[in-house]
Amino acid sequence: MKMKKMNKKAISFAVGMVLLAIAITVFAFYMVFFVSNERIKDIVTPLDLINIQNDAREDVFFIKESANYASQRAVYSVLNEIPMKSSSPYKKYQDIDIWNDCEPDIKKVEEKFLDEFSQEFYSLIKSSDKDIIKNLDGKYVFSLNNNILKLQSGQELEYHTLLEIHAVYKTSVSFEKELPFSLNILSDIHTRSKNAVNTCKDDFDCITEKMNSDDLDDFDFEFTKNGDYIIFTARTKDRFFFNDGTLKYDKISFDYAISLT
Amino acid sequence: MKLNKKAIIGSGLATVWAIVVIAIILAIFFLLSAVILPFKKTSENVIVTDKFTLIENSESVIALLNTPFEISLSGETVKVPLKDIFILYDNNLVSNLDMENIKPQIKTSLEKAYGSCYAIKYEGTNIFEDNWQTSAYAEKWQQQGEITLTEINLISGKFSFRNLFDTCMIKNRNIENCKMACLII
Repeated sequence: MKMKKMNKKAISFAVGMVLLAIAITVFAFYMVFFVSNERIKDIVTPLDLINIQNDAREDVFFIKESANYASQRAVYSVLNEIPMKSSSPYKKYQDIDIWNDCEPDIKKVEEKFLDEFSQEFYSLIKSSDKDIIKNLDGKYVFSLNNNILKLQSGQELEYHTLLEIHAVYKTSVSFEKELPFSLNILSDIHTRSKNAVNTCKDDFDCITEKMNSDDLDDFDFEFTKNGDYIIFTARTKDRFFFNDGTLKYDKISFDYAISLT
Repeated sequence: MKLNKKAIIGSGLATVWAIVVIAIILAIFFLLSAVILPFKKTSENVIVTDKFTLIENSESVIALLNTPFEISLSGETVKVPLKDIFILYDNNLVSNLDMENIKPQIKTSLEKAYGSCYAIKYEGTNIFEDNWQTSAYAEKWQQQGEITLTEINLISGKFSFRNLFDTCMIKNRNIENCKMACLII
């Protein structure tokens, strides 16, 4: 009877030990297959994020390039027909604006630039084959401060990982673009040209000297005398992409006349 | 009979202890595996799958597109970034003769950074007549589909860049070996 009792204790102890061994083994398997897989995901996810960051960088590059080309075309549009302060039609000499009694209206110049820029910019954004870029259509606020064009977006670009661990990568598409020159320069060109003709009359060397200064350094000037007028041709030193019927990559020039009398 | 019973108990206990010892050994083995195996598995995973080897490096490609090259326009020598040269060529704003002069410059610039381990393509223009400017070495790896591909959308078209040097670095992790393999001086 005593023997039977001992046998039962031994058996239950042995069974307990076997169960414990099974539990430890199951735990070890769990660690191997579950925890290690989790770690793999942790490590693969950053690689996925690197690819997402690259996608984002490429998209931001496209948006900045759109702004780059749009700004060049907008500069052409402004210089091709500069808005003037005079409300009544100002005088022309052989189809050239006479700048004695009118001057560039910088506020209107900037408005025209921003209007042309936004049209070109959104047109290029919409030409993208990526929906994430197309969705930025109409989401920007544009502002101009001297030669700094600010593009403030009300929306960020969002990228999602495709892996089990879900992550969202956001990147801002608000940025600033430096224009080759401030549009205020048109006002300086106007003042300087009038003063030069008043002082120098038709002495081109003298006019050249007066127009040759650091603040007008982004333009080259040529002069011709035609009747009672000095015809100025202002030409940008930089080349721009613009479209005057055909696409061009050239310097932009515009003419204006100053009366000698 | 009594001895026999003791023997039974003894053998039972021995069996139990044997199971315990084996279980402990197994547990230690699996616990150690759990710590070591993830890294082993990950490194296999990373190198074998395309996910890692095909990681793009768009930063260097964008830098390449922004690199200016000297070209002649209306008798004037100007520096124009590569991305703009594509637009000029697309719109016949630069002569074939000028393009022939630009191509070796682009090639030299690329070879400085990547040796023979690169391939470029520009969609929308036949600026590079045979499209893929590949070295024999790049072509071999390209056939195996193991070269990092970066595609950048430009305003004028798609620019593709295959970078064998980065692929080499991921596989060999030895800059000197890769420079030698890619003939980078």
